[in-house]
Amino acid sequence: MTAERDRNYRVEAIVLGRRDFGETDRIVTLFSRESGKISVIAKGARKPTARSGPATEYFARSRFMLARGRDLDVVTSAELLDRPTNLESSLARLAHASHMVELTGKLVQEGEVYPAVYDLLHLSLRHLGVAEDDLPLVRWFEVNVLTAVGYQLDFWSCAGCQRELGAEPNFLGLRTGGMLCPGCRTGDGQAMQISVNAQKYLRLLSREGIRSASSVRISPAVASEVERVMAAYTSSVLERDLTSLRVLREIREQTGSYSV
Amino acid sequence: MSSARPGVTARPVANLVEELSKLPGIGPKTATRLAYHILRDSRQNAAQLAEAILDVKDRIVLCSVCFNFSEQNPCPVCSDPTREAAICVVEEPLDVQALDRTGQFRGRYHVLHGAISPIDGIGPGRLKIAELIERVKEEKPNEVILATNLDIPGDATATYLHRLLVPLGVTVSRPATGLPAGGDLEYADEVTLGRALSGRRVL
Ligand SMILES: [Zn+2]
Ligand SMILES: [Zn+2]
Repeated sequence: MTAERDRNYRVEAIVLGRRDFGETDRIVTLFSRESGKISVIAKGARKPTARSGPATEYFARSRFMLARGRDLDVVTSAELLDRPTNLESSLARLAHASHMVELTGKLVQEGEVYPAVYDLLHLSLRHLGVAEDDLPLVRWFEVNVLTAVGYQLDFWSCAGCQRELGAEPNFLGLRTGGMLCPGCRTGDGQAMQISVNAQKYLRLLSREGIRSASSVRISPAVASEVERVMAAYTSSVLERDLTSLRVLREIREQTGSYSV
Repeated sequence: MSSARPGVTARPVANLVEELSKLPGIGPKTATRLAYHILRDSRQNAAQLAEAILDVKDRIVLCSVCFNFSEQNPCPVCSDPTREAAICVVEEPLDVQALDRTGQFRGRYHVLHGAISPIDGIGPGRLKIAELIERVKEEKPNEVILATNLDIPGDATATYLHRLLVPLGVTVSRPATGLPAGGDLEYADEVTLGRALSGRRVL
């Protein structure tokens, strides 16, 4: 009786990714609130009659009943709770959701639990499409998810001399993993200059909540500067580039040329 | 962890197991079972299998019109003059088989070779989308049916294609009714697929 109960467990999870397996099965990567990142197998999930289909869709937040298996745990039942809406209507929004999910999946370690990151991801996915522009939300998510897993950036003081950063262009030291004043930047072979306005915006993102941060309007120049800074920082933390960001750039080029 | 460990298993057998387990849906256990089956089987059967594998690699090409696999280019469907002037867009070659079996569609096909999925690294440039746009401009079909899968990548691809196709003045439709969300098209039964095709709605 006890053994029977131990073999089954329940999680609430967001689908981070999935791939086809076998004839009709799917291996689904879940980010669960209770057990962190886990890969599970959903048997028959690719059949149109599968009840687990919608619950194992990308970005879905679902409740899973899992049975411990020898290699992978097996989905015994799955119920969709919610998923971001209108992702299909904009390729850029789809890429933004993908980016947040991919970043989460790459930042968390299997076997560890991250309830705060889970709540952050859930909240951010739900907010996609709420504001007119998704970009501030995506940047807010990046800054805060990095903080939640221990890669917090202090945008107020220099990681070299510890002095307060002046109202001037300062630097993000990718080797140092922190902000550097003009005097300390030479100690870091990979320092990116950050304009005063971009620094102001990064401070706001790390200080404000999702609502106020995602409603702030910024110039396209600052938006693209902050996007570049955050992409460089995440790539250096993860020691690899992010797939969704590469596709997002491609989508921007393609949709530009097709004027969609 | 492969179940064929060096030392216990002869090198050529271990090689075969390794090659077989690269196939989709084949785990190390199934690969081992298949390898031992081939080992026990006649040399002639093994040769036939090896030849069949090389044959598809040597003799099958992508049709330069619809991008389905074919023995000739253009493929028999694209060169069939009795086919109607409509194009049904699908993700994979297997979907062409499934849809053609229904008999509900007598036009031609266009295989994208995937669907847009940024998280899997697949953007529009990786798919046969530019080729589709060129083809529609040239062939001027009466209708383009977007029969991509009914999941997020399939829906996103259909929405994107719709926006590209509408300015070309072609009728664009999508089979929807009766197909449950989240599944792969190739697994739907013929009756359901046929109904979904005939009940397609114009976007
Ligand atoms: Zn300093
Ligand atoms: Zn063809």
